[in-house]
This record gives sequence, C-alpha cells and structure tokens, in this order.
Amino acid sequence: MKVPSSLWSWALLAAAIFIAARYLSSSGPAVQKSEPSRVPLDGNFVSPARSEQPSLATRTAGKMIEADLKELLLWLITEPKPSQDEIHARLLATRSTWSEMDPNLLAQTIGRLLESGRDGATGMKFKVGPHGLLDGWPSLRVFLLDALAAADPETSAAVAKELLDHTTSPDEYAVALRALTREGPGEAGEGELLDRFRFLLGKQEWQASGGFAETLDLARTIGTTDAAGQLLRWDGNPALKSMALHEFAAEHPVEMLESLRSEATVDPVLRAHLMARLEPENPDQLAAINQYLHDPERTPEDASVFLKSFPLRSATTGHRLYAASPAPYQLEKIAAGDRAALTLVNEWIASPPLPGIQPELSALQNRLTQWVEQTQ
Amino acid sequence: MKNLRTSAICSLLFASAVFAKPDSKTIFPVKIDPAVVDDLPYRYNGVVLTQDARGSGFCAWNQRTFFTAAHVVYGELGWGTAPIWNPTANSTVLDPSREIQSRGYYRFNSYAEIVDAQGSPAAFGKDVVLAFAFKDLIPGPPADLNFTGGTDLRGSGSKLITGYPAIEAYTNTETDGYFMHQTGPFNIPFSPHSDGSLIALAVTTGPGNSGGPVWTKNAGKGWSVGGILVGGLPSETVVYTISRDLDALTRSVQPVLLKETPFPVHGVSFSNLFFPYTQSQTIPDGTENWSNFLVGVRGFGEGALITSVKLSLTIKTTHVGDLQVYLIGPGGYTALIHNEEGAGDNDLILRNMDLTASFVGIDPYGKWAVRVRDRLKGDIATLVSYRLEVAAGTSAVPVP
Repeated sequence: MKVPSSLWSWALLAAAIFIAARYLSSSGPAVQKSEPSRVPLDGNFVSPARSEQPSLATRTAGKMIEADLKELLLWLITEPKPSQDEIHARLLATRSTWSEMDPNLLAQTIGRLLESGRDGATGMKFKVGPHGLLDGWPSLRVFLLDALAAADPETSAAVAKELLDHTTSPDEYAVALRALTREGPGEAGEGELLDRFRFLLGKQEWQASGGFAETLDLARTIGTTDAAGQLLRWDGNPALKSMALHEFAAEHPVEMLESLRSEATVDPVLRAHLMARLEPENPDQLAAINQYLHDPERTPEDASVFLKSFPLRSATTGHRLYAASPAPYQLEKIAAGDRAALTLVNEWIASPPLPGIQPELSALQNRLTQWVEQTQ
Repeated sequence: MKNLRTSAICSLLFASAVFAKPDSKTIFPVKIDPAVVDDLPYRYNGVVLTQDARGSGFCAWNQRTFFTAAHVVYGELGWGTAPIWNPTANSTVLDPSREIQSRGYYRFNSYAEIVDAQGSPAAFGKDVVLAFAFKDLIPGPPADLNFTGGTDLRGSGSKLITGYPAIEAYTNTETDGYFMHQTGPFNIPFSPHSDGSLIALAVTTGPGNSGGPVWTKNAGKGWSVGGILVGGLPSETVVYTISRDLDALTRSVQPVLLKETPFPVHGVSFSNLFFPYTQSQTIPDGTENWSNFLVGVRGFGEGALITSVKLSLTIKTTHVGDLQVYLIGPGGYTALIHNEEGAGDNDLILRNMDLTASFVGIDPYGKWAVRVRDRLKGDIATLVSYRLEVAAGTSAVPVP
C-alpha cells in the first residue's frame, strides 16, 4: 500500500516534535516532579539540584523573591495607598509563598536584600502572632526578617548575626534575635543570648518601640538566673519589667528565687509578688517562703501584699516572639502547692503571731481551705 | 461591698465624664424582672468582686471559667487576690454562701501593647481576663461565645448588655445593691474604636457593669456573647470583641481545669483528617540543601483552626545521625523533628509524634512539607512515607 508523501511529512514532523520534547524535558534540572497518582491532593517532591551550583530554577526563584519585594516597595507608595488590611493580607500571602521555596535560597536572598538597604514603611504596628511569627510588620525589612522563619536555620542565623551587629532598628533587632533562639541548627548559646540581651536593655532610645518590648520575652526563653538578674537590674518601663519578670518566675521559679536572693534592691511589692509565685510543694522553695515571711526586715505592708496573692497562679499570656505562649500552671501542681501552702499557713497561725498580718493570714487560710477541698 | 471602691473602673468608664442631661434616644440599663434571673441569657451572669472593686462577669467557654474585664481584677498594685464570683445575684446584699472563690485568672496581653497602650485607648483592645475555679460556677452549660462577634456587633442585629452597674452612667445615680440590669435589646450598630474594640453611641451602662457580656442574637440561634463591656462614657459604650484571639487565652487556661469537667465548648465543631505521602524518595546524600516532601492540606470547614497535628514517618537509613528533619506548615510555621541525633542507629521511624504545640491555632489550609537533609556523605537515606494527621475546628481549643 502506498502512503501519500504528505502523510510521511506529517509523521516525520510529529516524530521530530516528540524527540525534541523528550530532549528538552530531560536536559533541564529535575527540580520538581509531577504528583504521582497515588499521592492524595497535591502532594509532590521538590529535591535540591544534584550539584551545589544554583540551578536555573533556583536562580529563577531568587529573582522571584527579589521581584516580589520590588513590587511590594512600589505598591506601598502607589496612590491610592493600600489599606492596612490589604497590606496585612498581601504580606501574609507573600510569606506563605516564600515558605514553600528552597530554604537555603530563601535565606541567602533575604540576606542579600537586607544588605541592599532597601526598605519601605507599612504603617503597621509591630505585632507578634501565633508561634512567634509576626502579624504586624512596621517595615519591609522587618517583614524580610520574619520570613527567615521558614528559611535554612543556619544561614538564617548567619544573616541575623550580621544584622544584629549593625542595625539601628529595635524592631529589626527583635526579629533577627528570633533566628538565634529557635531550637535546632542555628540556635545560639546562652552566653551569646545574654550578651545580646544586655546590649538591648542598655539601649534607652529603643524603649518606646514595640519590637524592643517584645524582646523582653528573651529572659524567659533563656531561663537562667543570669537572665533574671539582668531583668531585675533593668531600670526601664516598670509595666514591661513586671510582666517579663512574672512570666519568667511562673516558668522558672527556682532561677527567679536564686536571682532574688542576690539582688538586694528589688522593689518590695515586686519582690512580694514574685515570691508568691514560688512552689510550696517544693521543700526548698517552701523553706524560702517561710524565711521570707519571717525575715525581721519584712514590713507588715510587704507581708500583706505577699499573703494576698500567695500562691499566685494568675498569669499573663498571649503570643510571644521567642518562646511558646505562656501556660505555666497545671491543675495537679496547683493542687499540690495549695495543700503544702495550707499546712504552712496553719503552722504560721499556730506559732507565735506574726505581727500585723493576722487578718491576711486568716483570709489566706480560708481561701486555701476552699481550694484544697475543691480539688480533693 | 455595696459601694463602688476606688478602682480602674472609674478611670476607664469615666475618664472624662461630664454628666449630660438624659437624652430620650439613649438606652439605659434597667433592672431585670426577678422572675427571669435563671432564664437565658441572664443565668450566665455574675458579680465579680475583688479587694478593691466590683464588676460583672459571665460564665462561658467552660462551666468553671468566667470572663470579665482586666481592669476589674488587675489593680494598681498588679496581682492581688483572685476574684470572687457570685452567680445570678439579684438582691440588696450579696449572699456569702453563694460566693465562689476563683483560683486565679489569665490575662491576654502583649509586651508591645503595653508600650502602645500607655496613655492611649488601645488598652481597650486587650481588656479581658479569663478566671478559673475548681468548682462549677453555674448549674448547666456555659454561655456560647460568638467568634464572629466583631462582625455581628457592627451589624444591625439585636444586641443586649447585661450585668451589675453600680452607678447609672448617664445620670450619675447610684444603684442600690446587686441587681441584675439589662441595657437593650437594641439594634444600634457598633463602630471600630481602637485595636479591635468597638464603640456604640446612645447606649449607656455604668461602672460595675464592666466585664459584663454584650450579647448578639443570630437568626435561628439564641443569644451568644459577641463582646465584653470594657468602658465608656455617659451615652457611650466600648466593647472588647470576641474573636479567635481568645484561643490563646483559653489554651493557656486549659491545663488548670479539672479533667472531668462535664460540659464541652459550645458552638464548636471539629474534624480530623489524614494526609499521607507514599512516594518513596531517596534523600540526596552529603549536601547542605534540603528536600521538601509536600502534601496539600484541605477539607476542613470555613474558618477552621488547627487543634492537633500528629506526624508518622519512616526514613530508611543506616546512619540516622546524618539526618535533620523539620515539618513546615503553611505560612512558615515550623517544628523540629530530628536534629542529627542517634549516631549510627538505623532508620528514623516516628509514630503519631505530637506536634500540636507548634501549629495549634493556625489555618491548616495549604502546602505542608516534611523537610529533610543529609549533610554527611556515605549513608543513603530514603524517605519511605509519612502521614500527617490534622484536626481542626472553629475554635482552636478542644473540650477541656
């Protein structure tokens, strides 16, 4: 059977297209494979390039991040200016997209963009959201630092350290520090964190910024006597200081007690409340509580403040930049502490009277009796 | 504690109060009919007493928790004695035998907001606490929280304020005793005020009503709490709105509640879904680069938040100490799974590793990745499979 020449031509053309397509599909780096049919939803696998040289896709992704930032910079100053809600939504979406990219590339690109010095104000307040990621970014540089959360941890830490040594922005300092506090590769040692915390607390001119305020969570994150001591000695905003000390004491009562012992100049009311956070179920801490109340230098006023809140199990909570949201107390420990505290208070009442605080002692005994009965 | 003590209630409710003449358009608090005190929604209300102040509160989320305004319980000296709850009071003098001594309270706050709030109305946006007790605060289930309270309060639907005003704000007249009052129902929409709080004009209550519930009524449903009364002036009412932010508060309180607490969270539904990855893949050996193994997570109801995340995973290897493994959630939330521990052990096998702490409260939708790298040459590792189990619901806090 004869085949028409035109059909041969079509067949040859189709074969050529097929071979060319196969060649093109195999010559590029196999960066992303299509989803196998048995993987549900849109599951897929993204591997790094075989060599350490940046692949075409890597270079493209890097340019994409740069383009995104360039667009954001222009968008923020375009009239009519975007609303706060629009900026918030777009930055969230951008961070989400970037988090799916190659983590090494993301960290390197962000480092390069930070070095470039480019920035744009968003008009937003510094706000921490769930799990330490930001929910409000005053500037695009702060946003870039926030996006490091999903990047390679070691490269992110290197980028952060470079910035921490030079930045004049407390908000940038706050977010950059986060890269050094995350568990895993890139996590800084206690000494470095303490040094950076000391530097920060000394920056008087930063203390009105939201970023600076949020860095006070670093003390709780470090969790050592030295960290508590730095906070106790800090002569800054009393409300910030009090909240940071209480969150610290709620999670690290032993370290707080050690630090209180070595710091003589703590405000008596603050000391009374921090002492009220100790754990009566712990014999050492119980002894410290007993000693505190029987200290001849203890005024009835200070003792009264202590007795009104002891054992203090109220707390602040919320989203925090470095450590998990505070949830320091559990039912079983509270109940055990209340039982131990009731025994101690009964002894105090039975022993030679402590001057000037009998009404507070009786009220405390009454409260503890109720709580102990309720948990039995 | 009949009379209003010196407290932050005054500073918030009457920061610059000038008592104007009553306006017929303004809605006032009025005493409720004593016969309905145990009916809905009045039965959830209570008087909140501290050493220095009195306020209002309502039992919600759990039978052993009540909400009130932070300024009612957190005085100038900071932490004091835990507040006392007196349920459905409606008399001249409180009955001490009905009082329940709470064990404490959690206050929702952030460091940045302390800086922002100094001398500004931003304080209203976080003026809320959740107190907890070791005893049931009311008989029966707690009130429903309306997590879209901000939207509903801004709308034209029916609203109602209940509580215990000690002074009638518009006329500056002291109310006698502890009688439950209601303001409304009214349809006046609230407007944005500051940091998520809302304000309504021509609605007035008074000191002592701080911390009381602001109810919203949706078609087909009864009253649910859309907000908490936190401040105002004569003929103004400022409300903290119920939103997902409260999840961070309830999550922190959850560990201090008795486990046998009988009533579940109301108005909340949860579902549990599995997302397997079953394509066996070799992990590139001896490289600094990471490999992402992705699954898409979807299938939950609108507005769902994560309540639980568990990971099962199998990586075959002859040297597990080579491996670093993360789970990455949508938006960049991360959890460290394995960090080169285990030296020369074989295989990394995890069964239902609980990673909830790293993802609770976030939107589950989007791509998730198990991210792996093997930095040391010589032992080839293969990700055989993994399975992500995600639970999500309309509140991030499940039944305590």
